[in-house]
Amino acid sequence: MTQQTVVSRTEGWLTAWVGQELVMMSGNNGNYISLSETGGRIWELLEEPRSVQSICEALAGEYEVSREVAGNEVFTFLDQLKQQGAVHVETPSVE
Amino acid sequence: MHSTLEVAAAAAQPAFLSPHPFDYVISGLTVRSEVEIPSAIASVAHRQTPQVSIRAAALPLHLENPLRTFGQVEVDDRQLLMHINRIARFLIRDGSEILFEAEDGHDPGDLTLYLLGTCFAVLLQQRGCVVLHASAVSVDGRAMLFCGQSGAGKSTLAAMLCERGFPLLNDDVCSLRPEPGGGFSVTPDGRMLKLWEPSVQHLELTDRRGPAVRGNTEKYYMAPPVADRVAQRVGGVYILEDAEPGESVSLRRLSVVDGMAELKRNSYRPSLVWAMQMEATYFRATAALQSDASLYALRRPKDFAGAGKVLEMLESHWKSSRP
Repeated sequence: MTQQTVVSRTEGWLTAWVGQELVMMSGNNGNYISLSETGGRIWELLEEPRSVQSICEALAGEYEVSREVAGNEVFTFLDQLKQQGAVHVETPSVE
Repeated sequence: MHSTLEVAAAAAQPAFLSPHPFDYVISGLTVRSEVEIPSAIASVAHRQTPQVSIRAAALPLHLENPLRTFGQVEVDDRQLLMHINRIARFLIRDGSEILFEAEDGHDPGDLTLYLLGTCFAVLLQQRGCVVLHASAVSVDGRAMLFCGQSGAGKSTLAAMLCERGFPLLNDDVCSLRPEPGGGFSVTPDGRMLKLWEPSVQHLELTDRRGPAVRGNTEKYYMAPPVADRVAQRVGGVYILEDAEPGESVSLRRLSVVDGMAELKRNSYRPSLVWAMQMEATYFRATAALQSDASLYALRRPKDFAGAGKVLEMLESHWKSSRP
């Protein structure tokens, strides 16, 4: 994954906020996952496919973190979401 | 449009049908039934057209265009047809009618178990309700729910709490109703407790024991000593778990995700949630429920020797969490 990688949600997730966490259920296998407040915010940002860079910029604007710090955490988080089958990632090839 | 489900007027009437209908209030709905339902507590004559009608009818073998089918169940957008071998064929439609065609030689106890259990849960789901397989008692005006599969001890625990003075709300079917200000309330199901003979003996309730639930079964209906008739806001949900031998009683708060999975597992019939395409409704409700009520796993030995400790733990838990 790079800053240019485009991330999009996979289909079929039901989501609901319960207090500070976003609970999600997969429509495919019925599994549940829970995201922290920031994770939930990233999921909301992914309503439209976005590049990692644009996610980091949005977070740096909303939370008092540098883009670099946000970047590291966002990579880890997106990787976890990918492992849960919740997002697709596509890195444009460099010509 | 003429449906194949129009009921033939001269459908074979089982001999046990009374010429006078029986009126009840079940899960908050007024019900008029052609067949007596011995497990229903309230029996009052309704002056207005009841919300639910239960009656015998000649039923088709299949729906014309089922949207989902599993086992002996077929569902379309307004009705559910279900066949239970050696008991009856049931058709539940529009959240207002339960029709049945009983099979020869069926046990009337089985028929009423299905009418009031699975059929009524389907009807409540057709009305958009979320239905949990739970018993419930009232504690300081809040409903405390006990979820578990059949045989988990829901009714016995509710009966024991009743004996300690907590009014019974529900024996088996907990229908959740969203409240205007958030949270959910539970409507009393208007049913008697169903208790196995050892529970009746242990609780010394032999003199209050009602009829057997079905023939050749040592499970009996029992009117609760105290029951509440008004809907109450859900305060807590307790998932019953069996402890290993020698393990002591424990109460563990569940995470939101675990709580949602447990509530889904304890929907009245998970297969019916799927068949009636209500996953999203259940998902939203079980999330919203947890914003207002806490979920716990209650792990306890199922023998009567340890029952006192379970009651003590619950009572002290409720005292300490009182707002």
